[in-house]
Amino acid sequence: MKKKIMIVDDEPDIIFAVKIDLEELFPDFEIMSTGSGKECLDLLEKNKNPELILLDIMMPDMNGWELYDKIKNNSSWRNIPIVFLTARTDKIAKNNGEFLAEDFIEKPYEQEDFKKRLNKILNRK
Amino acid sequence: MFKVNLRLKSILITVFLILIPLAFANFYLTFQMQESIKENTMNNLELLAYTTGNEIEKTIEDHINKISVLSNNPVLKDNNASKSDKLIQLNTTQNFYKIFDDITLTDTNGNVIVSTTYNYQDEWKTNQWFQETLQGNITVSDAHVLPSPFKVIMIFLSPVFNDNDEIIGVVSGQIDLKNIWDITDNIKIENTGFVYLINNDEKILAHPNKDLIFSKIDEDEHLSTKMIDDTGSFMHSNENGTDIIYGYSSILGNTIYKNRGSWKLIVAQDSDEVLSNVALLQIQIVYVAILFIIILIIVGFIFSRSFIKPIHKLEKGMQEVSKGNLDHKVQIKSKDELKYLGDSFNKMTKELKSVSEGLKNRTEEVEKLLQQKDEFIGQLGHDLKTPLVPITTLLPKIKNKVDDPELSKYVEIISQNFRYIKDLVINTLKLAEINSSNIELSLEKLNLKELVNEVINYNKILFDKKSINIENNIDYQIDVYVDKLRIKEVCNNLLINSFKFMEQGGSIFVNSKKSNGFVTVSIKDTGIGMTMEQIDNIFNIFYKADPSRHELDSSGLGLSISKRIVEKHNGKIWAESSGIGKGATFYFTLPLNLDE
Repeated sequence: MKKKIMIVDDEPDIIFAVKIDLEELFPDFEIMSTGSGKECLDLLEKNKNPELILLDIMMPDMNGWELYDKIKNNSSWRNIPIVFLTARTDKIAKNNGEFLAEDFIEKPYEQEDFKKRLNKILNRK
Repeated sequence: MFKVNLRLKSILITVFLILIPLAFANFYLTFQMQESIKENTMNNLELLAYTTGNEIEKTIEDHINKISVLSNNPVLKDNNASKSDKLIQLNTTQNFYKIFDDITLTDTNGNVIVSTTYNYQDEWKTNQWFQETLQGNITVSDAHVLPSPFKVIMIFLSPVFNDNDEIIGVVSGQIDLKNIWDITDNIKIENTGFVYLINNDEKILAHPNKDLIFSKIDEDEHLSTKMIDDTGSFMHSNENGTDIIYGYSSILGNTIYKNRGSWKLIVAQDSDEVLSNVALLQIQIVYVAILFIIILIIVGFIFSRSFIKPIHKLEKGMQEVSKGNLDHKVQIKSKDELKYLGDSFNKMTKELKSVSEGLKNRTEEVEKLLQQKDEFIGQLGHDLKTPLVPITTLLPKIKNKVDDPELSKYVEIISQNFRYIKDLVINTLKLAEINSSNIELSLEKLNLKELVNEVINYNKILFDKKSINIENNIDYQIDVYVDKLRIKEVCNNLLINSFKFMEQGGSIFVNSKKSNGFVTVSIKDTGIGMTMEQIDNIFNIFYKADPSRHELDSSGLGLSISKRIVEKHNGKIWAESSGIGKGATFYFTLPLNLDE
């Protein structure tokens, strides 16, 4: 079974682009994508536990913080590293994000930087 | 407590302003009164001495007359009359008048013919007064003393003439000076005033203190030197220091001493007693003054309330305002300038309040607007940045897959422009974020050399493209207290900036210099250098040092953002260059970590 990376974002174009980047950077991984918090939780329920989850913050219905909460409160998923991937750069988001998550990457990202940061997290495991 | 001082002052002023003139007036008046009373008393005592003296003189003259009349008695004048007849006359006179101790008739030799009580012999011949009388004059003796029993007497002598006007004898009457005491002792002047009588030898002839009779008045007092007129008055301090007022009158000067002396009738009184009324008055004035002072103090209190209270109200009003309470109203009800002061004060606070509220409203508005602006930028930022992601990812992919040279060129142009927009969007948003007042630095202790090394490593590939060598000569011991991400951004900006204006194979030297509380970092390059005009403007927004360069390479915001970040750290940033072709050095200061 291939290791997985999950990405959650309500913008289909973002998913399209990031998926391409991830597939290029981490060819050994399967890239799962979901368009909402609900979809993400469904997938997790089905035991599709990824090595890493990339979360957007600004999503309708359930935003990134809420989703983060739900994931971390579940004992089976608690240990999955979460990285926020967002266009929000305000101070509050940054502070909270850096505190809560493994990392906080701003959109748009530079390829090199993106690769380095994700590598760091994945290699730690 | 200032109200106490003010009150005290006003009361003290009132009291003193009124009391001091009063005190002066009091002293002046009492002094005048005393002088007046003394003078009055002196006049009165003098008058008393005069009238008393007169009375005594009259009495004496009366007695002289009696003897004189007796000396004209025909029986006595008659040589042939018998002794017993003559004695009868003497006795009759003595018994009638009852004042003579003795009446004696002597012949011209001084031999006693008859006498009612005495039987002197020799004494008469040598007696001066007897001799005087033999001259044909009525003579009065001075007072003199008989030893036993002790008696002070005087004698009146009158010659007896026969029908041929020849002196055939002398009649003399003797009286005890006690008789005069009746006159003098009865005169009592209050408690300390009394009357006494002295003769020319200063022997006391009459005095309330009978022990002093026929003693000499105190020689030390030199009173006689003061009694040179017929009548007069004077003041004199005795040996105890008491002031005594004297009035005197000279009597019997002619009668006894043929004007070569006289008796003095003296009236004396303690001046203290005389002035006692004045002293009493002064004490009463003091009581009144004390009462007055108390009343003044009370009045002063009440009066000062009328202006202390308003002042205190005003002070309280000001305290309230400085505490921020602009609703406080000052109520001054007095009908004077203080009321206007109070009203003006209230108007002022009302105005202050409306201004303050206006300001508050304005501030709230402005803050709301700022908030809206931040939200707008936040939203805008998000909406601008999101589309950049797919384009960033996909453009290079297209570029790689295009073979056609013309299409390739189109893609290249699109890529360049896209890079420019991306840079502009990101940096503009950054600038907006930094300029917003809500920005906060997350400061931490960091090693400066390591920090700079991270930035250098991050850009290694870029610098290798131009074969540029970077030397990090920062003192490895320096720790700074800064926002990591933002200072890395500053270093990044400056290094990239130097890179842009260098040719192949240049060098960048990074150095540090510590001074109090701060470290100055210098980034020196061997690039194309700057003109004075460029140095002045290089940190301005959108300023591009070289307009001829590809405009797409830089948004012109990087250095402005760096400046803002450094200034937020309370540091300074500036550039220096010796000129075109001579490279440039950028300097910025950062706060040191002060824990050591």
